[in-house]
Amino acid sequence: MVKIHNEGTHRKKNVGCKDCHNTHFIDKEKKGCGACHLKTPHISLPSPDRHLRALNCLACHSNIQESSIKIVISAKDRDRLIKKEVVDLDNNNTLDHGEWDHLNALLKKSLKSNYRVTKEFSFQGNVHGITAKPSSCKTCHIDRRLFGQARLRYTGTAQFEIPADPAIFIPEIPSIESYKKTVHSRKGVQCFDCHLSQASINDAVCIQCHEGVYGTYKHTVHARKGATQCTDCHNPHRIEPYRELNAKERLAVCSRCHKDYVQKHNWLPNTKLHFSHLECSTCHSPESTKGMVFYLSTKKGDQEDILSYENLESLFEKDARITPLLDKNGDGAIDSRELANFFTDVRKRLAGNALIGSSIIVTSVYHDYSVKRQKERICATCHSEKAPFYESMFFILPEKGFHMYIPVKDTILSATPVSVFIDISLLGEQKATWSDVKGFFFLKRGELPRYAKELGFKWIDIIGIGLSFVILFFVFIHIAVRVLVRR
Amino acid sequence: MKKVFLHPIPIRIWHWINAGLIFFLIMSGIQLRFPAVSVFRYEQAALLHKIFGFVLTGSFFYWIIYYLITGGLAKHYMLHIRDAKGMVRMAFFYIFSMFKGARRPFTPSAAERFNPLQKVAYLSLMLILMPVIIVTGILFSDISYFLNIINFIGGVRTLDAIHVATGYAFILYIIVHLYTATLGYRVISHVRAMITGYGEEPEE
Repeated sequence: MVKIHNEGTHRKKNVGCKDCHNTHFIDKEKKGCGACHLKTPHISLPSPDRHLRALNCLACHSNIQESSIKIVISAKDRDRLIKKEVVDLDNNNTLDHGEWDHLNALLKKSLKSNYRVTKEFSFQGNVHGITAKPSSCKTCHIDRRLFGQARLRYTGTAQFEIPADPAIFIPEIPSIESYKKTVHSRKGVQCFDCHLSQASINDAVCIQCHEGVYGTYKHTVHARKGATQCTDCHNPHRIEPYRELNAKERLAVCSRCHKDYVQKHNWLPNTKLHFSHLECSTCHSPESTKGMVFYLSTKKGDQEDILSYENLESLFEKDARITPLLDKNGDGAIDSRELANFFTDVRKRLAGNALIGSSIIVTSVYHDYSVKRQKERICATCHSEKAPFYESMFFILPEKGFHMYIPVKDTILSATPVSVFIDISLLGEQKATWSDVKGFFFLKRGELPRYAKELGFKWIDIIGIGLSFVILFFVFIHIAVRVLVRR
Repeated sequence: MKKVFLHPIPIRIWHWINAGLIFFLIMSGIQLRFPAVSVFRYEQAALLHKIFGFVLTGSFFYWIIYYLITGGLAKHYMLHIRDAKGMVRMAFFYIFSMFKGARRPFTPSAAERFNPLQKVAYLSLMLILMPVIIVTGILFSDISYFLNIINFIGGVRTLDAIHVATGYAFILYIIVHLYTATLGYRVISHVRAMITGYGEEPEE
């Protein structure tokens, strides 16, 4: 204890034991921080009330070894709807932004105000080791060395606990270091290009470069009634460009306001499943270009993680380029054989724990989200072999510092072994089409094995329909003979 | 022509409800598989397929419980060794001898309703195809909820393959069933039997 005190700033400022403790009754009379630091203004601390209410002095002014965020939701009754599987929409045993928004909408709808949410930022600080400088903002808001773990406990009719993304409760803030990695910075946008004055950024700043997009957006219902500023949805300091956000992260942008997105889509069969593979603009921005993307991931228990470059680098070799390992013939596109070989290799190196995930996302966005498709609900837009995203399927491969989008050729879904795409939802691609049938009659010599393999499960349709016609044919012959012999 | 009582009323009601369910399930199923075939609106087809699927599950349990209670399962459906010969004879009759006006190799009675070919068809339909399509259908009804089981089977695509292949087997069965329904003593004999309960058979 003395050693810790000696290393702290109090010792340097000649604050000794006696200044805080009564020498005779060490435990009874202790002085708190406020005894000396009564009027501490914290002028430079943004949102001082929120910070000072949730934390005590030690959170920033001492070395913290262990810390976590504990969220407790206690509900009294009428909460039968709320169960772990309803809250954890993608079953990955982690609460993300979108799921937290959904939970809030669900609580509000089914319990009105009959529930309580308490957030506790708990940590173990040592009062004897006061540091000279307080922890910087990035300790919690960027690096998350402090409060890097969050856990939600629900107590009501159901009782459950689930780890949560700490960024839900401590938002990410911009930093100069991380700004350097953003697309804005990489394309040469300097701080003062946007921060023209101390006033907060408005759309006029964004229009300087993004006038075309703004022209589409400003007339939409969304712009007039909802998010009126570009920055309401887009964080210009975010490292990943929008196109590199996955479906779940994109959904979280919308769910900050549209918290009840799950309830509003109750009509949609397999609602949860749809939301784990789609983003909102897949349906709500019909003029956007959609694409199907595939990515490599791995499973730890129930949690699915997308494989990063570092993961792949550790499987192959340092600084390895991954694209040539997948696109063996170097034609800039992937066919089913290349994918199956690469995936088998990765899976072997990961001791069987690998899978290919997929989602349908917008690849080129049209900024009009005014379309409420409540009356249309056209499932066949996607659930058809004519679905637009079959024209643009990409495999996203992490490379050092960027992602490679490699186009996918042919009927990759139906042709690859089942074990490759274990979670893929069914759309139109594995249903036989006329062109598959016609293809059979125009086969060149030696093409049959490849044709047969690429058909995959489409064989079921071809055999099923073929047999139906064969049986109908015999029935007609039987009828004809019956008519002839009058039996 | 004499009349033989064959089908008790609980079975007759079940048969026609089941027929309606299967008709709508096949129609909506074809649309789900091939969206270009537009019978209903697609989302209506999806909802109808799901609801009727659950009703079919209920209907299947009704059938199996009825036969378990009355003991008819063994009596009418159990295959015997002699049925092997019966099957050949029955097939020969349908393919050749019926055109020559030969006598039917099998006469249904209250004690034994179905000929050996019917037994094989109904047994495989009700005890293999029906449970398979019901179980895979229930797994489809909430893919996220049953994901662990689905992945154990081999993923959504395998599940789909099993469900659709069984669906085609149903279609093949229905074609044959509808046609053989006209092969009674008169063209409408079998259909009438399923409505009134009384089958029409030639006099001895």
